Amino acid sequence: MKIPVLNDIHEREGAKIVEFAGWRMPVSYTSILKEVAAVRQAAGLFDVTHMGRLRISGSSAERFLNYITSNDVSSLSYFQGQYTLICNDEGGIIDDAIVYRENTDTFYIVINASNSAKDKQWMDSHMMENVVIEDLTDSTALYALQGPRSMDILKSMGVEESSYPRRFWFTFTGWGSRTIALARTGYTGENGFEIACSNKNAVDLWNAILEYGKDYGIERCGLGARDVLRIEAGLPLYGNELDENKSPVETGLMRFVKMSKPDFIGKKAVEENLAVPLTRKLMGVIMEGRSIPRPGDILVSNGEDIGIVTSGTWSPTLQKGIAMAYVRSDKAVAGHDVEIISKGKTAPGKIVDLPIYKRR
Amino acid sequence: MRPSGVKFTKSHEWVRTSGDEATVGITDYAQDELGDIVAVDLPAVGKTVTAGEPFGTVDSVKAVSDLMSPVTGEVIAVNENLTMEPESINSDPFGEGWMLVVRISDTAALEGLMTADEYETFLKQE
Repeated sequence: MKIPVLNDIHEREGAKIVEFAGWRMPVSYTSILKEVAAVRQAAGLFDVTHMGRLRISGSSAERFLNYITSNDVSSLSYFQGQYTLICNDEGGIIDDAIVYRENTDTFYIVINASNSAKDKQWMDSHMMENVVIEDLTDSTALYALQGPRSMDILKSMGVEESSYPRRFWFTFTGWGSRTIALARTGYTGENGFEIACSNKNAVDLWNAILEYGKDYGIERCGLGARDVLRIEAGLPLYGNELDENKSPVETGLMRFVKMSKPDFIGKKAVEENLAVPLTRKLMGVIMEGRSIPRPGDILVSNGEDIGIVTSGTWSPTLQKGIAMAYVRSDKAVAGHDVEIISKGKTAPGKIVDLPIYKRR
Repeated sequence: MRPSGVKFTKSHEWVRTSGDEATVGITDYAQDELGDIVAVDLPAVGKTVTAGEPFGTVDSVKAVSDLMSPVTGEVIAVNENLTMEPESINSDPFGEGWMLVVRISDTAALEGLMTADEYETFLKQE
């Protein structure tokens, strides 16, 4: 079992801890509803140290990453990042990730904790000369500061405002005498930052964000709130919406797959997928009343099975049950009425486009 | 914290009997483990529930769980307020958060229930 630097603090503060992808991580501190509300209305701070973080460097690093990921790494400016997929030869999704470029030869990739070992093995098996992969996961901590007041909190901490990166960019900046990596990314659908620091600064940084965040209504948030927020924001989760049997086409992620690139793993398979009609598509569902869809629930339309729920939750923001679901193409139309069969009971809902929640 | 005269199941329901009537809910421990409760599905008045079998479900944000009946008998009252205010189960599990009143038709199941002290010991072992 892996333990984040903050484990003692999480335990002392009474967080509910779960095992997630081999890590002991907080699932909630007080109440998932309260934590979600804080992120939508003020700010929330998440420990996401379990996420895999690799530095990939060397004169062939760009060529290597461009070959194993679907997005166009060569288009990245210094300190720019991009969401991307790692596909297998059949076009199935091995993982989703964010790739950041520091300079010509140095990149960072943030991968799912649950896929970290698999991804590293995959990279090793496609290794090129002049590429070095270093795993930074155990020597650093990673936090997500998310919500409309995130920037105010960083400002009040004395993190130089001119250094704040734009959406999907990152920077190395100072917090006091210490260096932090600050990325304008997140998994909540809100404005916010992901912040990495070395282990020795991890406790101080966490405490400082909470201390300065108090005046802005910050809450510590766990993986439970993170999951609700990402479902509301229509963001896929590996293992739910994405897996090795799903092609980028049906997941609706083709804008992160650059078919104009010379070659990348899975390109040929994706080309073949694009040449045939789509059988299913990832969509949102909003329920009527208080019924809550759960993964594995079946979608029915006119007595026919037309899909399956991959993620479902109560949405505190919409005050309704919501889901992400793979829906048969001919029924994957926003506004289409469906029924969801959950625990033998049938409840009505409506197909909607993703994201279900969009920040104003 | 836990009211006296209440009996408990290993699946964390409570039951308070008065004559042949039993009021049923879930325990403080259960609501804390589940976290925020956002929906409940309870049987209608007139339905029969059976000890050890599911009588409904409770939805927390993250998951749906079965509710197991501690008693056998006919449902004679249902807490309709929980439809709109399921959070009462979190805030007052032994009071406002009650779920059903059942007219007990078979008292055998009551024998296997735990007292508050026994339940406390059981929780420590879990």
